[in-house]
Amino acid sequence: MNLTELKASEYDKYVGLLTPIQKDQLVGRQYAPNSYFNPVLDGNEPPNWIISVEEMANCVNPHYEWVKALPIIPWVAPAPPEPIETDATN
Amino acid sequence: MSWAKFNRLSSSKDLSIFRRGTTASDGGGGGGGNDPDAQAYIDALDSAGYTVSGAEETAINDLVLGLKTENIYSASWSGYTPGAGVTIIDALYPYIGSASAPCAINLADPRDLDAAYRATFVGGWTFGAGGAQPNGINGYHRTYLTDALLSATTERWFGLGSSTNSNPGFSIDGGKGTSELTRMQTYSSFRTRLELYSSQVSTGSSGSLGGFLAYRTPTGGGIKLRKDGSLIIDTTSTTGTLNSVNEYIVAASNNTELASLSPAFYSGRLFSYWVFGRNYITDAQSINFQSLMDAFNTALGR
Repeated sequence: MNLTELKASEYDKYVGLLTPIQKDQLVGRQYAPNSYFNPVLDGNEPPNWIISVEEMANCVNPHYEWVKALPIIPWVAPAPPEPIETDATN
Repeated sequence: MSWAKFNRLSSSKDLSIFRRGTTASDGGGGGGGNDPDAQAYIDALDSAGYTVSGAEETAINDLVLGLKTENIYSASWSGYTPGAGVTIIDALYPYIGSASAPCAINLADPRDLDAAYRATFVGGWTFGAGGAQPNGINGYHRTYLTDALLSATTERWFGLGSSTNSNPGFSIDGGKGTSELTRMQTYSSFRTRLELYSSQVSTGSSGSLGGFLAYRTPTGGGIKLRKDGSLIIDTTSTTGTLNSVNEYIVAASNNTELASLSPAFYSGRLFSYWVFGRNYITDAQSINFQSLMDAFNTALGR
């Protein structure tokens, strides 16, 4: 699957897969005005470095056009953090 | 300088001469009657590549005038210690412009500077007529409301407008503290929580949609949280201060990560605005602020 095959409504279900070297290239870099890449680890074991489909689709920085060709994989969320409850107690 | 402005100025045909004049020096006669602070924000949106519609211009002007009438906007209010000259609003992001550059602009100080708390968006976001929405995967908003730019001990207030519930899972709408952790969370079980340094206070089923405002009044008492103007949390505690420095919003750090200031745990809500203020506001001001934001959003069709 690639970026052009995704509908906007599917953006929150998929992410772009990065290599560790690609991750280092994107940290702190701008993909659009006032917008920065944010590579994060997903919830797979072992975890993958990923960026969101929005970052790929909205990238207008010519130095990083290559993100539009990243492999697309399903988004696996990391485990929820401890301090936050989601149940009805508290 | 924004990329939009850069592109415009570097194009072969600079169309900026056709812009509506806004000051006497550029032939506009001072903004056509708009409040000068409202006009400055409108001009900043224009510089960021977004042309404000007539309805938006009216809504922005009405909002700024209303905030000034309520003595919320500016440093003119002398109703409490420390008196005249205090800052009430540090940052108000109305998320107008359907793109990152205009949505980054702080209505309370529309300069394109970190020191003016002009935002940057990190990770995945979608911008539209309804506001700004992070993707719930890695998107957050950096305000630059940092320890370096703000006193860490000044009392603060903050709020948001959200029209969607994160689904599935929880949502964290908050910030980070240094020695203190103070953040507001509205999450998917339709409850809202103020998480303070030493305690957590939650509502029952408060509903997830609407405008939330956390503050403390100048007459003392606990930290309060209102939803759509109604009081849903009153901590009753008079200890501690509401003094979180909210550098990161729509994401929050857990306790161990606060030291490194790393955002994590991302929200997927659609936000129509975020506001950050300092010092105290009264109950009446908090209610009237909500009314102004509701009228503003209604005028924009949100």
